[in-house]
Amino acid sequence: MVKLKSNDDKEFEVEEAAVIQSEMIKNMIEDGCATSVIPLPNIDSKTLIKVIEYLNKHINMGKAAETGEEDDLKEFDEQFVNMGWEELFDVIMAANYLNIHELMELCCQSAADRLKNKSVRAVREMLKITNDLTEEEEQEIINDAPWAFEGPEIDDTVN
Amino acid sequence: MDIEIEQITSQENPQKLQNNNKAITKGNPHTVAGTTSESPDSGNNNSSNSDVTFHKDQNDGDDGMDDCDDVSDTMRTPILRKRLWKIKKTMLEVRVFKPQRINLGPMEGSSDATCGDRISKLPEPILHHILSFLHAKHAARMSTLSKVWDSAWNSLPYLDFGEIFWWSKDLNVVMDQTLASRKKHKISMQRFSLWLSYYACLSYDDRWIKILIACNIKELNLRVETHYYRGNFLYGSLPVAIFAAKSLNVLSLHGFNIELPADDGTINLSSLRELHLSFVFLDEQFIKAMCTSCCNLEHLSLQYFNGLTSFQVGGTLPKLKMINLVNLEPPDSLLQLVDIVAINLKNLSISNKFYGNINVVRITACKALKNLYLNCVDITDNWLEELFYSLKNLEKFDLICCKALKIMKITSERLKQLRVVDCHNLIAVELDTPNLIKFHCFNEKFKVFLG
Repeated sequence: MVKLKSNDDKEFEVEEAAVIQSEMIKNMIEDGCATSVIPLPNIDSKTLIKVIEYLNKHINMGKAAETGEEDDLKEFDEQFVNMGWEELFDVIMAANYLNIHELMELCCQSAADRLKNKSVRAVREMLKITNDLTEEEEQEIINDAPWAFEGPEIDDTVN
Repeated sequence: MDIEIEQITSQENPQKLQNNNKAITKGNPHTVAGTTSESPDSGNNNSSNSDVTFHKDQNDGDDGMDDCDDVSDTMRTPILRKRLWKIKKTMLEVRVFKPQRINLGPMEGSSDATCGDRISKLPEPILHHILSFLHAKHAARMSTLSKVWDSAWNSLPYLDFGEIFWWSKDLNVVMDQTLASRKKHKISMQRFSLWLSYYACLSYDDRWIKILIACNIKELNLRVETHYYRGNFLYGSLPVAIFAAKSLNVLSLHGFNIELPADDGTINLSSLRELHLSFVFLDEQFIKAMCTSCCNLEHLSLQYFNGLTSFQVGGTLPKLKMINLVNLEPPDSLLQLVDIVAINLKNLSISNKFYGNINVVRITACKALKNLYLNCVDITDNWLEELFYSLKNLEKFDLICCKALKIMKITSERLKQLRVVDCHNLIAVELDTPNLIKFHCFNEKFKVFLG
């Protein structure tokens, strides 16, 4: 078992087989730097719980392929990313910090799926993005790459 | 189940939350942790199978979670703790930092209110990672969101143009512009994907490939739609500049006629780790050049190829771990001989769509081979016996439609899984395989399932 400590001082015990999906922690263990508690100053306990939930579920990824549990895993992944933007960004930052490749892919894919086909207006509203471009600058960008702004398939809804 | 709980939390009676709020000293979350612990929800949801163990902080005070401390050996207890903590934490955030959000309604809305353009504050590589999953057109469109996004688009090292036909007339302009700006800013390109429709009469330009090479491109996925015309496949012509991509790790080509550079016929793809070719025309010269140049190749996939009568890999690719060959159906298939010497090869799959011409398969030098899949390959009883005599590490063996096989004799210490399907002339199977776990034999004449 490996002990992880979140930035709000909560400790979690995780099986080594699960936690080594994090390249960062795997390296620490290999270098013998993981003898006591591993502090994770960038991750709060709420996010860490999410990450551990993912690691535990994906512990036997290789086996899942053999035993036909892939669908189960896929369903889990779909449910897993069903979270608000804020939480998603927390998990992305954690996955990036811990270097968990599959989790990073899953979450970034989910973020991209939510942006796909959306109009700029919709994305701006959805993510509360402040536009710091002047009208001229904006027009210049559009004029430079008109191909990006053509086509009918733009979704203007904020969902 | 987690979601249900979260819903309960976020839809919680505003009255109750406000009442609790009164007991909270603002800006001191620790006090809150104590107060929130008496949540009536505690202890009701303990039926998951996750293994999170939660060690309560000693300063945390006495809260509802103490109930589970003494039974930490059971599977359920840790989950109970996890759940409770989740509820507690959510409520804590709601009350202390944004009490007004109680009125924002359930689910995502409430947590997103704190978002305040957090996405734009993500480190650029992460923003790039997110944008990498979008079609280049969609990613480019995001550049009008704000300055951060404009810069993220202009430096985006992943460009997926997908299938191009609707803006074909501008293709050159789009490519020149998009790639030129990356070259100018010295962006190290990670991935470039483009798929040209045959009907748009477009072709790849050497110029684009040269720019990408100058940007140290790592992964290239190029595709043209092949076209069947009067009994022949029509292939796209491959920009020869590609063979000079020294930093390239992954190359996928679909629909091309693969010809070596006319000048010296050599290729320089020394960093290549994966090569995926499908619906291509190629010859033995290319395979030879590949074996000489691609010394770091790990994965080779060759599907629905034309023009090769023999596939030969000498001992020059020590890192090769996986080969996947899928032959075209006759009369387009010409392949007759497969001869592979690759000491670290673990997985080999040779597959004919229909019973084909492959009648010589030499793989006994691939000593590390673990998984072998043969479909419609002309192998004999003796061949099989010899194979297991030479390849001691074989663990998984699939034989599909190998019609020449009559008596199957296998002696192997390591073999774990054996599958024999539709080998219609098979009359006897003799196995000396002490570690076989799964044996699946499905033929017209007899069926055996073991393990």
